[in-house]
Amino acid sequence: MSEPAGIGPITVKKRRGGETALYGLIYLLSAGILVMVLYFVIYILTRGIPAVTPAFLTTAPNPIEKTVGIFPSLVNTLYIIFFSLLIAVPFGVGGAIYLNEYAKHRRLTALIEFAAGVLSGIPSILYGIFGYVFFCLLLDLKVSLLAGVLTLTIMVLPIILRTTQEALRTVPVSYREGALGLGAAKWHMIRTLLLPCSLKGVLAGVILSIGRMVSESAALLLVAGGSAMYMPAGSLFDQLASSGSTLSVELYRYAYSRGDNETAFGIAAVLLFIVITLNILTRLVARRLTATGH
Amino acid sequence: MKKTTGILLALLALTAALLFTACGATDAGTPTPPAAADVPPSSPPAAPPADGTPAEDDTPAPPLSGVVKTGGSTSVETVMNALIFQFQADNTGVTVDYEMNGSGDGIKNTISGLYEIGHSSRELKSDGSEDGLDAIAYAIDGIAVVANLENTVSDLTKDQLLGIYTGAVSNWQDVGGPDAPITVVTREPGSGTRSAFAEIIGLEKDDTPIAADASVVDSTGAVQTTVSQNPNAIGYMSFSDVDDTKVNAVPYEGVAISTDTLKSGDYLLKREFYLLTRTGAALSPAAQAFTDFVLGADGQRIVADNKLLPIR
Amino acid sequence: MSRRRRKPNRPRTSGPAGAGPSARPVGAVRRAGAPVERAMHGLFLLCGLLAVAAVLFMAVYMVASGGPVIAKVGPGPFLLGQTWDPERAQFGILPMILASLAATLGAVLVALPAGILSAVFLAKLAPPRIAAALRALIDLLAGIPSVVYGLLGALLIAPAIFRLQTVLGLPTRGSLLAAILLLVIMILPTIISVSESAIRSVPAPYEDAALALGSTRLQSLFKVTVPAARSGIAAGAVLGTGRAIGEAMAVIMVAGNAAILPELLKPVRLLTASIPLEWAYSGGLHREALYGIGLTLFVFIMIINIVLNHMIKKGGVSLDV
Repeated sequence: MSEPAGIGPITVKKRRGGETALYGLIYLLSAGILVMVLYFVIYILTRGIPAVTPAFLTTAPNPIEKTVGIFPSLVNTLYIIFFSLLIAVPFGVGGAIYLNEYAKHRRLTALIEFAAGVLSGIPSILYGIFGYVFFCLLLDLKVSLLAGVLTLTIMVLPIILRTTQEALRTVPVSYREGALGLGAAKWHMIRTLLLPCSLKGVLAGVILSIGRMVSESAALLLVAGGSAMYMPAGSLFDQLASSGSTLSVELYRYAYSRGDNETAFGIAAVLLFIVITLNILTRLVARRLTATGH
Repeated sequence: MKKTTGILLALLALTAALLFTACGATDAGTPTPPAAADVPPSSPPAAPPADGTPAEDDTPAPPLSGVVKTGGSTSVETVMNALIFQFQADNTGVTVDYEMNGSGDGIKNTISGLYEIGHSSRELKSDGSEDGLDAIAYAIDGIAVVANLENTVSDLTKDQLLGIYTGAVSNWQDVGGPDAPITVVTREPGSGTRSAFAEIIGLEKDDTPIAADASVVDSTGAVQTTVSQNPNAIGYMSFSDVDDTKVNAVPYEGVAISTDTLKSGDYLLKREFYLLTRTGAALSPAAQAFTDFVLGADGQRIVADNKLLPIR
Repeated sequence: MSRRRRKPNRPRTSGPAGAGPSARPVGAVRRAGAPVERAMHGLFLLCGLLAVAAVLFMAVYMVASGGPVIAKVGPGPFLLGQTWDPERAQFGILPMILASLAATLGAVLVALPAGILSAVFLAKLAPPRIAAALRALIDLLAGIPSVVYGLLGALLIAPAIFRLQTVLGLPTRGSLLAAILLLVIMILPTIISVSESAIRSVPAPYEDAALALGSTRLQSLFKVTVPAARSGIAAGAVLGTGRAIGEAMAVIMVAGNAAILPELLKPVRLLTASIPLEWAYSGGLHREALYGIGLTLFVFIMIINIVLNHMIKKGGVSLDV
């Protein structure tokens, strides 16, 4: 940690006016942020909730009757989340175990951690281009939910990796030594001791990843397509192989491309509800983590 | 520790269960064979096809099946979604997949065979780069010049529009409107609407580029939204999507846009919508049925219902 | 949250090279099935390398897709050209580069001081309950999807700027200012939470010493604590810069998207905006030019990442966002 190099000669003389002004600014600013967030939430909910009817949530749009519904995009969103996690969780957890339990070379560890850092810093629009060029064109998956799944898998991988790593770090060395000392093989020790102990970290990562995927729009617009007019049809593979948009992409379409603010706010309210739920879950998991951390 | 782990495990299980049931529900609901009534949560998703719309009397006897891959223009979105919806309601075994990625991709991907049917809102280029396709026009679309509802401008001529879009005319006063600077809204380069509009009024020739500071939006609806939210804006968009509670369609050369003036030929800003197929390639029965449907009485009625001019 | 827990625990837990091989009772492992052990080791290594592979693949494919157009148009005309007119094959992206830099810089310049002040409030001045409530709201702000911000920006920010433009006799339209304001709101949570954790991690004796020397609470906070936390705060600023420069969908909805040199009250098009905006109808060289924009953005982001990585290593900062 750096030393307090910034300490200048501290003037003992009190500058009351300046102090008060600074206090005022700090309180005003913090109150401002508080009011702003509350205003956003209330604004979205009051404009959005009237649109959120049971039919809105459970039907597909009907362009003949001119009714809207978000069921297909809801399903697309769930597909993307479920299948991305299905791939990202094992790889993320495995990577974290490698980093924490196996890696001996500092260089390699640093390289993997740097790569994970880079992945989490890359903006989603670039994931979109990469996903399009690599998955849609090169692997010939076309613009499809499957291409969306694979693109988002890479996007959430570093999240799972990091939270799992942090959970693994909280497992005391003595546990490991105890298990190994009793003659357990390393993989056995990982399976029976570390994996259960890191479950909460994985869970935290899963929740954060869901948040990220629910919010995602730019990348999916390019790789998974921008429409959710009807339910995906056919076998599961057919469904994943066809294009489709998630809630956030549909929100962009309704708000901007279709200019239907009523529906857009309806979707925004649904998204806000999901985000708030995820935030509460994160808090719960974090509390459990700290409670059992030592 | 045990207890909290238990709670967390339960949470995880719940999440997983939710995910699975959601997926399960769609799995049960989506295979489209006639027994569509067994969708677990509620039947609305499957109901509309079942309880009939006017067009189910002429459904052919042999049931069609399969997926028809189509894609292209976003300008045709509204009418195409309605056409596909009705067609799928009439032929429950068929899925018509419609990727909205613009006329350019629609043309390219139909040539390459990725799409059986492409959608285009512009004519095929005659420079050889887009050979090998048949373009079947199925609707005529008016291009409406739209202004904010508060705007009092009553008519715009070709030259006035050209002046506005090149930036030579910058105040509404100069074209019979209020004293306010004009906010020019245009579509992104490559858009079918933009190229048709530019072609007709003589814009985007070497000496008439679109003003560099014009706001650019990427879809028909975005033009409407931008213009509706901005008192000084002008835009152009597909007539089929004009909502007159949001924007004002300004008469062009003294003629107001309507299906009548489009039909009579008095309104001059218009273009055609096309289905594209590969020249000489036989369509699958389902794709052929879809093409016939679009050009048939029911399809053309839906075309007319969406403020487009039927071609037949 | 976790970073508070992590520091004190670290010495007791195994680091990457900790209790691994050396602590292993060798005989037991050998008997328990070395092939399985080796297989699992390999499998975990593979998982770890996936992230590295992903970054490599991304770099390779960004260059492979974005490189050709830069070669065809020429790096000079592409990066420094002032006209973006794909219909006439003019692909100059300088206006977008400058717009992205202006919007990002503007947003960070506004959000950084505001973020530091709120972070000081959260970490040191706020009663615990208020701090907890505010923190929860800031987390919520961070979790709101960017398209929702775009919607809010178009309906709440844009009209306010239209009024300003009307007063000044300018055409009412999307603007750099709107983009900056929207980005400020979007990066504020990042800057606040990273700064707060940095401020919290400054040892209490620093501040106590300053207080004992007779300085006021605020003096000790701003002359001792905040400067001591500067590397963490800087990392937050860099992270915020990365977020701002990469944001696409929300900004499209308020910026007007004209590819002209940036001015505060005129429309601007950010690098990110061109890609989704023109994606649908682009083909041939036009599409390649969008890949080229992607590559340019990728280079910017990599620079930011390397700077950030350097800061984390040097400053011992942990980023929990």
